[in-house]
Amino acid sequence: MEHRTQLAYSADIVESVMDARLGPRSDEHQRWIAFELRVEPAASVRRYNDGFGNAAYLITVARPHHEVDVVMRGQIETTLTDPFQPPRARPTALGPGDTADFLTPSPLVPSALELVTTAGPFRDQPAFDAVQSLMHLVHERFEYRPDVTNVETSVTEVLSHASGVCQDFAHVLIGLCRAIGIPSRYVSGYIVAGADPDAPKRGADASHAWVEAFTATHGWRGFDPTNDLMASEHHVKMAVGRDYHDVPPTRGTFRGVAEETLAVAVTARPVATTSSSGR
Amino acid sequence: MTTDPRTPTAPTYAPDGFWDEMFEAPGRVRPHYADLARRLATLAAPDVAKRQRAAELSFQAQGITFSVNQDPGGPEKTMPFDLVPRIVRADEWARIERGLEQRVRVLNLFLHDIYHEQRILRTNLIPAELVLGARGYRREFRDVDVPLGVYTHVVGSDLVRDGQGTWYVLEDNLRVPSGVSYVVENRRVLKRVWPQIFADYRVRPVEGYPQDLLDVLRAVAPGSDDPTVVLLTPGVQNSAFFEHAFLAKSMGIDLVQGSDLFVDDAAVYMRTTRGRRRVDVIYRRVDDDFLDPLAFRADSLLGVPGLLATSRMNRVTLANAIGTGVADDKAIYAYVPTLIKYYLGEDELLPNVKTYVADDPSERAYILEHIAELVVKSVNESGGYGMLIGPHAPAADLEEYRARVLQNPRGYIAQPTLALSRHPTWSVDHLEGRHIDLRPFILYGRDVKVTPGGLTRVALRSGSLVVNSSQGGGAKDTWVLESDAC
Repeated sequence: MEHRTQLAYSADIVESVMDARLGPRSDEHQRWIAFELRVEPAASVRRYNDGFGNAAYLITVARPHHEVDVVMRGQIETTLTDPFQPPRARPTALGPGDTADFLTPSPLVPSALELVTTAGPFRDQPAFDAVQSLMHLVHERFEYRPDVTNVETSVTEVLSHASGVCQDFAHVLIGLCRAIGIPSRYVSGYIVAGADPDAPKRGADASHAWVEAFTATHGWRGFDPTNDLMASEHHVKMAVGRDYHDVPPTRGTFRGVAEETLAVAVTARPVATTSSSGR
Repeated sequence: MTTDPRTPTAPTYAPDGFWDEMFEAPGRVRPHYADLARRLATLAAPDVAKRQRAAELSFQAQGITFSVNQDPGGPEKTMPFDLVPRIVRADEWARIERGLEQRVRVLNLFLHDIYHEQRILRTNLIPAELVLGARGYRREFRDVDVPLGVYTHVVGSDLVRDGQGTWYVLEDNLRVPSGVSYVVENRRVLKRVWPQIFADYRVRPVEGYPQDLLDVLRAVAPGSDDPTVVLLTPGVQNSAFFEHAFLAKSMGIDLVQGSDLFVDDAAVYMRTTRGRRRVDVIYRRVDDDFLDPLAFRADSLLGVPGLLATSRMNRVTLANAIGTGVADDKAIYAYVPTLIKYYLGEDELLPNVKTYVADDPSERAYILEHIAELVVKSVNESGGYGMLIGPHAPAADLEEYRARVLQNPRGYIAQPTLALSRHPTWSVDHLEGRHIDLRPFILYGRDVKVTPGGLTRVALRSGSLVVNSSQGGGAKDTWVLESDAC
């Protein structure tokens, strides 16, 4: 996995401060075997944990510079081959903190009547089924269009356009789940498609976003409304939060008068596949 | 023509059924006010007026002004100062002090808990949504181990007395409480205008406040033996800018704005004429929302990018810490006695005012039915804004607040309208009773220290219950006696 973020400036700037959430985040379904973060020009890179348990990096360049190049390289083992299979041990219920975070409105997913009326009919289904139904619904009703929204577009605007990108699809699904009392959170990550013909395609050449919903039967499981698929071993998580606002891969400021241009390139390929019977 | 040299303690002064701090009954002065009353009786009205003018000039000369918050173009004002001091007996103060210490310790245990294990939220003592859904709760600051476990280094709690003279805590201010500069300056001016009266009493000094604050700030530095402490102000437009400048100067530390600081290599630096200088502790008078554009409001020009991350790494200490506003939310205030019981197993030493939380359906019903008798307050506002005093409000206002409470129950609480205690206050040429409260300041570093005194605020309009300076309130010097032996 390689995630490259290149910032170029039209003039020299100073005091770049960047907050990065590019992984690694390990859990029961994925393990980071290798992780490195390289920054050009020479920069300070300091790791900390944010309030959501994500690894975060504070990257600073004080001296004059006109570009910042951040490259994350990682190697990840993912193990969730059958996302429909409930875990062997029944998931422990969420604590009050997680419940509040992932059940109440957040900055980019405010409450909206339309979310309540749309999700309402699914309230009586088992939660795990309801989230899948809502995922299909989002996938069908919303059009994938890269030019109508930006990173700060809230769910109410997305509803009015009925179109957007993976981030927007994720926000709508989060809003629908929360509207019927299913805790759900935003996942920032990648899709690793490789040569697998069944692998999801949308989002494979950039960073991707989907939703994790918590159900009493399955615990946290990923739902990818952009591809209309359950998250599986093809999905790699970088960070989780209430919505995009908590976990942008990079966010930064600088001091100076210059135009900033941003280029992001993600490449991911499978290294090896262990057969699922081996586990 | 003859002028009438009426003495300030004219026999016409009447407590009118309120708890009067000076008089227990018409003409009967409380013992600890006896010397003051004797002095006042010897004074002629023109003399008092002359001293009043001298005091006002002294405040103006010092530039002790504030601008009214919600009126950005508004003029700079000096806070009206009343020359008649408020006197608190030593034994009474000792009780207040113990009660405030208990309260501040508990609020810090509560803050630590809700930003870590959240033990209390797993009980049914306080609704988890009330706490975690509070506007002042900052998820971004979870799981940070702040130095000494202290979140609120500076607290200003508002105390009132009712018709029986019982002291109550009306609210706590745990974010960026202001007013302490007036405590120090009022004393300086009063000593100058009433040297004889001041000399009659053994009054505990308040002048040590800036040094005590500096000691607290140094004690919470992350690691350094000789920490650099700065005061971060939003700038000259801020209503409390005078206080920021006053405190920085009194402590001998730099007064900085966000643009004077920057983060590099997970440390905060200050620009100086001799290059960068590492900053260890920031006494910030900037609200959470504006503190770090990378973490909170992206449009803020008042903060420092990377400050949240740096403080999460414990490489700089913010005083007060991020996220303390949850504990002075007025709906959560209602639970402070419960918190005291839960964290310390004690009863509260200073009682709360009875509070109805509109978020609770049955309490909401009570509020809606009795709104004309209650004081209704917005949970996140201060300074006397967002507030309805039922008994004094026209019908249209009652209706408006009924609608507001219904529309946003989490946003409101209500309390009985208290008959706040009164204090003789100079009005043109004689004394009249005016309602007062008291804001003491509590510092918390290695220990809790309550500054002996505080800001006594006076509602200068006759009959008014609103003491806030932004709403036409004034101030009195508050004398805490060394002992009650006299």
